[in-house]
Amino acid sequence: MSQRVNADPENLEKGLAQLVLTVIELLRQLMERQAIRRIEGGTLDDEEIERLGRTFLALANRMEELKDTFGLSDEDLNLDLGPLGNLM
Amino acid sequence: VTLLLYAVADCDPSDVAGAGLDGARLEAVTDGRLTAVFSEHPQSAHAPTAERLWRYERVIEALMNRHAIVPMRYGSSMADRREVASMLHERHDAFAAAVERVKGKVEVSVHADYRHPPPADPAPSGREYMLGQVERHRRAATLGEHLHGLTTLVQASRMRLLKAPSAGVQAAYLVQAEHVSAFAERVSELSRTLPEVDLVCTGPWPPYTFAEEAGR
Repeated sequence: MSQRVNADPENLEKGLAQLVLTVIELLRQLMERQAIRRIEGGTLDDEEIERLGRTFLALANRMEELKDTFGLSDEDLNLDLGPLGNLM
Repeated sequence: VTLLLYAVADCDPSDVAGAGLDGARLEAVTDGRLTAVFSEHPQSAHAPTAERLWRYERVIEALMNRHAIVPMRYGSSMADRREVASMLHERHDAFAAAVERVKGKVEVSVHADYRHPPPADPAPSGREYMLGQVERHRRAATLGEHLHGLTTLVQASRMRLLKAPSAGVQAAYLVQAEHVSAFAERVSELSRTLPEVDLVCTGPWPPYTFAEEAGR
C-alpha cells in the first residue's frame, strides 16, 4: 500500500532479495509445472524424469536456504495474479 | 509522526469515529465519496506482534460492520494528510471499483488439507521427487474439484496450493454477508462427504483478497 521507500539498508537488502527470489520462484514453479504436464502426458522417459527431478529438487533446496538467509516466508514470495489467482 | 491506514471506506467522514491502535483517534481524509481512515502515531516502527495485528484487525472489522471498505494490510502508512489525500485522489477510480466489488460482501476462508499425507522421503531420487510432485498436484486438483461445489454461493474465489509437501489448498471466497451461514453449512456438508480431508472454514473477514488490486 505505502509507496514510500524505507531507506534502512537492511530493509532495502531484504526487499531486493524478496523481489529477486519472487521472480526466481515464479520461473521455478512454472518450469516444474511444465515438467509435471509433460510427465502426465507421457512425453518424458525415465532418464529425463530423473534428471529433471534432481534439478528441481536442488533448486527447491537452494530456495529454502535463500529464504532462511533473508528471513523470508513462502507468503513473501507469493504473487497475486489478479483474476488468475495466486501464483502458488 | 506517521499515519497508519486502516481502510478506504464508502462513507461520510463524519461517520468515522472511535479509536485505532494505541487508543489513537480515528481520522478521515475524503475524496469524492471515498474516505481514507487512519490514525496518527509518533513513530513509524511498529513491530507486527500477534496482539497488535489482532487489534488492527478489530479496528478494520468494526469499520467493515458499518461501511463497504477496502481494507489495508498492517503497516500501510503515510507521512501526512496531504500524502493520504494524494493517494486517494490518484487511485480514486480503482478504490471506487474495489468498494463496489466488495459492497455488502465479506471474505470467507477455507483451508483444506488431507489428514494423511503420503510419507515424505527425506532423500528422494530425482524420479521419486518428480513423481511425488505429479501426485501432489493431482491430489490438489481433486480437492479443488470438490471445493468447486462451494462457488455457487459466492461472487468470486481464489485458490492456492499449500506449501509442499502438502497437497492441500487454501481458498478465499467473496460471499454476500447474508449468505455466510448458508456457505458455512455447505462447507460442513462437504466436510461430511470427505472424511479423508480436514476442512476448516474461518470468517467473515474483511475482503482483503478481493480488494487488493486497488491497494497497489
